Amino acid sequence: MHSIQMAMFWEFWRRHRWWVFCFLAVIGGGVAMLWLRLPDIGAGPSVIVHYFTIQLEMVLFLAMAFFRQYNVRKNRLSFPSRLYTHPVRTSVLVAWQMIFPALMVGCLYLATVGAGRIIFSVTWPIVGPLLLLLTFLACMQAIVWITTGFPLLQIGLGVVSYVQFERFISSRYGIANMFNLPRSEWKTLTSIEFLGLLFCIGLAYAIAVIGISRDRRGDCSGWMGLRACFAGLRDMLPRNRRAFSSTAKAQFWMEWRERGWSVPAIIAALCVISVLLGAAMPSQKAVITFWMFLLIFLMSLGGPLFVGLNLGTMGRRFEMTSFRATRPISSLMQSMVVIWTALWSMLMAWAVILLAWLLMIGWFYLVGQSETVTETLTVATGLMKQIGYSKLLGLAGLFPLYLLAAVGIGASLTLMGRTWFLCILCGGSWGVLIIWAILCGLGLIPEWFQTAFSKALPWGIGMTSLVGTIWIFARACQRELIYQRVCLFAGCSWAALFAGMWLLWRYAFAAGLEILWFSKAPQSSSIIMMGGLLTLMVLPLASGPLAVAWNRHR
Amino acid sequence: MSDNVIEIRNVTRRFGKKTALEEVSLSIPRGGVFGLVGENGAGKTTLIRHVLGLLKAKTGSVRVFEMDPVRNPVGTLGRTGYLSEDRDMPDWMRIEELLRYSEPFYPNWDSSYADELCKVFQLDKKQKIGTLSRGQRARTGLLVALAHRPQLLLLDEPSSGLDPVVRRDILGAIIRTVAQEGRTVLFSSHLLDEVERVVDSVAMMHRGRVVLTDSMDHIRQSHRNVTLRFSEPQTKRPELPGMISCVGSGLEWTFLCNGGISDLRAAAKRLGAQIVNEKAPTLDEVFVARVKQCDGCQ
Repeated sequence: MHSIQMAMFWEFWRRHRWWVFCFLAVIGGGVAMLWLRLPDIGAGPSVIVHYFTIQLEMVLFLAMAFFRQYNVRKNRLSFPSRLYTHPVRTSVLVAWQMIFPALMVGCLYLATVGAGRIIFSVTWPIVGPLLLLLTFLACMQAIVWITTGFPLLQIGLGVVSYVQFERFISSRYGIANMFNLPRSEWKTLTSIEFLGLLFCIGLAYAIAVIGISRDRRGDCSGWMGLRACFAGLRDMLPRNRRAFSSTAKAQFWMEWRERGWSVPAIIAALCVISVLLGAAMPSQKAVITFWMFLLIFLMSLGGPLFVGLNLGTMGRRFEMTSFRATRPISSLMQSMVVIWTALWSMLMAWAVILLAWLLMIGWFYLVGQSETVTETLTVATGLMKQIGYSKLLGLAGLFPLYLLAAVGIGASLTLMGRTWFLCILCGGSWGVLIIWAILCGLGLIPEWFQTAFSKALPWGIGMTSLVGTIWIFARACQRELIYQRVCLFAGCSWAALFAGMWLLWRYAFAAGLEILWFSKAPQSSSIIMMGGLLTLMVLPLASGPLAVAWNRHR
Repeated sequence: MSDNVIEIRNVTRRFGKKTALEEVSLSIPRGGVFGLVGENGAGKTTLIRHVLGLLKAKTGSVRVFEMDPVRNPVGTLGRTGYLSEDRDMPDWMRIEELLRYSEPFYPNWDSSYADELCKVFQLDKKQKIGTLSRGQRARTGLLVALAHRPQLLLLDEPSSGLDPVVRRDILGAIIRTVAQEGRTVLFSSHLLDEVERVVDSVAMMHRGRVVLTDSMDHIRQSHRNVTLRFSEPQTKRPELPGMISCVGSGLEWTFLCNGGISDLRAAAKRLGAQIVNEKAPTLDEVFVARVKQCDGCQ
């Protein structure tokens, strides 16, 4: 390296090169997709594509400022703390650290405009949007660097500034409200706009220099006084200091404190956001909040598998930390506690939604909007009638089984602590599905093979599940991870579930009830599939301990 | 009941192409302090992880308290205190929470002893582990490892991060106390002077192999560092019985030998040389000589 600038540029490029490649991929893919879709919409696709390209670029630059130039996890700068030891003045250091990304932004924007011109033969404006993007990035950098140590303030200022930029760009593209599409392109840059944006860049630089100077001399320690005050208040609160009566309770406490609470908290946050969004809606229709809650609830129905996967994560890259691995607790107990915490976490999340719903109903009655509740209930009842009560009842009956299986299997997958296994499993299954769909779409698979395959599929699923479960139980027993009584319990539970389901099927079919697939005549392939799928309910009893042992004793 | 707390037989472990342990056999007797020394990457931590059952012996066997630590983790870990090299503990916990959480796992947990250690180590129970310095973290790990008065205390590089006062006075005192109570301490380190101060027996590891296992007293007695002066300059390296290393040129040569001083005197007389200096070598000198000898053999 012949100069400090070159050394800093090299360091900057090393840190951001993957971000640039990702940016190019996202922008390239996004523009192509929009272009393919938009001609169907009609008016001014070029303006819309350009507008959304700028939006996407703003989001990506925001992400770069917040996540590439800031270490969110450690709440400190990722740039340029390593460069503080260099014999360079702070103003110079900041200038280069702002110039490099600005150059990058400029090149990327020009590449986008060039691509639009070459591929789609459209002419997009350069000066105005480019200056806006540069100002946006500079402002975001300044916010990130001046608020080091104050994450909430950082997010708050970031959101406020982002919204202001959004409003500015919307006004330039003739967007009256957030649901409208752009009508005109920002072709001319007035001298006031030009000077205003330049002033913002200058101000951002000055603020960034102050922020970096503070950090360089170690002044960015956050709200120390406030934190101490909160800590003092918290210590005054009564706390449970009693000893845990069992290892399972202690382990549950740890799992809950570490990750279990996060799902209900996220759901609660989503509910609050829904309320705020509902209140901010221009139409002021309170019923929107109802549907948002319903959407959150429906989304959370797919949650058990993800909650299981999350709770089963025992450390970096799923590998169990030595702290966890050296607790004198059996693998069976450890896995059961994880699954139990995941179940509890999921149930709490649903309880939060229910509570939010009740509060919302109560609020509507209080503010005299009871007709909203009545309206929603009428719509919901109609919807339920349309689906069929017997079907809904059947689904509700199967729900605990689904919950148990999804949580248990999700947790077992990550408890194994093998990233490669998860990659192969997810990538392989998705890959097979995609290839199958493509081959079918292209007509490369003969009809008779497709028919034979769909007939064999229930047998395949059923037999794989049955044989797989038996093998997993046998392995767990052989390694003395589970007791024989656990196997016996699993066997009896499966037999009882299978018998119950079989009887229900026979009864529902005979009575002509429309409950799930029970309206069809029982066939051997469906019975095998049902038997196989029911093994998944008891599978976590063996797969959990086996996964923990595989992770713990490498 | 066996006298050995740990029995390791012919354990070999490979990570890809790298051999971390090669045919390691080691017996650690009940009571006393056992040191595991070796350079970085010699296989000390890998061996300790086998003892804890965190690594499964692919070949050979590991027995702790006559149990397989993989088959019976509760039985072995419940009687073992462990301080990991990376001081791995949940950052979000406070020290008091860590103590409260750890208590039910160990039947012999001694809360008053934990409080006492907290004072000795000058730890604030309300502090979060994530905010502790490296040294405080090491002390917290040591506190949890000791508070249940384990029958086996495994310390992986305990000195790392500890200040000299804690390292020399407190750690040494604790290790001696534990050993005097008839319990066993196995600790790994590459700081040989420290090991020499506290251990009763030592195993030297080099490139995944145990190159020497013996009691400290025997090592001190059986190894001699001698300097010989010859009447004529020696062009070739002189040979002494039990010689492990030799440095020098011309008239004066220094040897580190494994053998009695009387044998060495006789050998020196035969060579026509005079012993000008003779002393017991330090563990550091023995280790370096053994490692060089081992490298020479390979």
